[in-house]
Amino acid sequence: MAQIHFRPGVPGVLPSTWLIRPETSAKAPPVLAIHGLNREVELMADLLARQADVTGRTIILPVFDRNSWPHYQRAACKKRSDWALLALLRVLRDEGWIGAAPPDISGFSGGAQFAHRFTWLYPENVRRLCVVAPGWWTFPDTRGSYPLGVGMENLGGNALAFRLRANIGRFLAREVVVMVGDLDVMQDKNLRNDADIVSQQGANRVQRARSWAAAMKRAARRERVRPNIRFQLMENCGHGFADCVANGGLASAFVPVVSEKSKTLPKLGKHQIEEVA
Amino acid sequence: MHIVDINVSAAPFLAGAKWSFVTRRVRRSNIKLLNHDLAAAETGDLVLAEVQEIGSHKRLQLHDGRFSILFPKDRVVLACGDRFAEDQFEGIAVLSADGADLLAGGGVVGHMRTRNGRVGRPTRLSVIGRVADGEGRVINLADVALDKVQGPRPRRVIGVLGTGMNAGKTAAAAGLINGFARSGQMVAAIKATGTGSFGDVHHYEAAGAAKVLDFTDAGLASTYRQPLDCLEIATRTLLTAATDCDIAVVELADGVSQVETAQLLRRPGYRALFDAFVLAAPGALAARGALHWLSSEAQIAPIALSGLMTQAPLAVAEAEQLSLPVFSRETLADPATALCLNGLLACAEREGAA
Repeated sequence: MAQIHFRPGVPGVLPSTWLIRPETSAKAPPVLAIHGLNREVELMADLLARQADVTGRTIILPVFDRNSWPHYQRAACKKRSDWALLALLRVLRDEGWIGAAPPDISGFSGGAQFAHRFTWLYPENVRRLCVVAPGWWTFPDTRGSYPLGVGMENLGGNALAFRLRANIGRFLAREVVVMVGDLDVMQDKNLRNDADIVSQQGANRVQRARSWAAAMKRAARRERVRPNIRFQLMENCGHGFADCVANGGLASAFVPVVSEKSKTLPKLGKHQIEEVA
Repeated sequence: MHIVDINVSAAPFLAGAKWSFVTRRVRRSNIKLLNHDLAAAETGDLVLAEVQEIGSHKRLQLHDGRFSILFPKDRVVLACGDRFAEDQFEGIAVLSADGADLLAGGGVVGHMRTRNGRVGRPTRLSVIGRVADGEGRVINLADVALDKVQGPRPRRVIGVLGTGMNAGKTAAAAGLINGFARSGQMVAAIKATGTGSFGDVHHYEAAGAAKVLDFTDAGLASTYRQPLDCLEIATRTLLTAATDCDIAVVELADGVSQVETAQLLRRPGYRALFDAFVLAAPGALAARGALHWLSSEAQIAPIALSGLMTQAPLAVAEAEQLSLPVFSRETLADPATALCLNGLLACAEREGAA
């Protein structure tokens, strides 16, 4: 039976982490499971523990505490939750919890926001991405600046936009699974309704997920990358992790059995540096 | 005719001497004699001198990384060498019994030919002699350099070029070093050309370089007026010494059109040592000029711009019109930038191979 461990962190430096180790030795790449804004990490750990044994994979559940990383879902935010995760992975490798292989990253709600932004910033550091019901997304759209899009931030600030545009081909070369409950169309306190988000992405999480998956497929074709993006509606599921695990089979998508299919696809274009520039 | 022995025992003269940065590889136990034939001095020769008059350089960079304030009558161990510095001195590796000039604070002595109008006269020295071993052979930095073995280089080599002195090259290099180091890679920092000084070396160390090397490790006090083959071998030697690192960030001194830098960059074999270049500039117009020079003279297309101009948003906005990303030191120090550049270069490499 899988064992659940707690590794204390250092506030502002290293997130505390729940680690689920399968009973048999974990040779497959680990999975990062990123919590939502309510930070129900222990619930996630309980619901995913069995999946560690099913798949033989170590599951890492970092806790981006409210004080240290209040806006962790933005990844490249002021408190840089992306850097905190890089540091955590380094420590877990040093301590022997995980090997050198890049992990999968799966995120729920606010965790999905983080997961897709982190993967976009560090595509080589992620093997597979599973994004479930984020409130809003970063789109491959130059009309908005990060985190809404990949346009210029302001006067004299093309650095972040450049990185996102430069990475998009390698980001989209990963397997990406987009999921959302078909009943996740309600307005709640964590769902932003700014006019620019609604007009770009849609009114609710289902519309936004569908819209993002379509936009990323178009972007992949522009980048001459074979899109490997799968959109899936979970029937009879609203916006709750436990609900999605119980009724939508989320656990097996969040922590899947490793298959040969989820290999990184090659980019088909040429001279990407020039294209980006 | 009678023969005068030009070698005398070094020990009494060396007592209490300050050993400069460029001498840091020298094994002092080998030093036995002083040679007074100054006319035969060559670049890289070790020199014992006495400070006579404090000028522009009021401190000496010591072998152990500290500064030492200079006083008249201080004994100092330096290396004979040339100097090319637009904002300081231009000088050559010539010694005279009438005296010599401290051309660089890292410990380079020679004869000043010109100086920047805003800089005072160099610190003036009397040359006591060249430092020699027990056989009377003058010790040269080349004698204590890394072996000129040329083997594999680090997997990735990024060059940092500039429009001139003080363009922000070292800050850009330090940013790259820090970004790559923080992304989990072992980074070598190399100063391939310039005049011996610990400033850049310290900057690289502070940025997190796992290994720091400069041309003095390859036996050169200064790269100004040195044969190009010698300079290319020095860079290859340093890259080979860094082969246990994942990536090397290599800074070339001065501007891209500086004599030796320009000639090196025109060499296809030299350019082939690098996977990519970053250009540092103090302003957009300077960047535009350097990009044009690099394209037309050296077939080099840098992958990004950086430098002093990144402190001024207006200058950055202007530079962004050059269709290249403009990265400040802080942005370069972001692991996301390092990994982005690495990913792009890996893609370009695969496409090149295909």
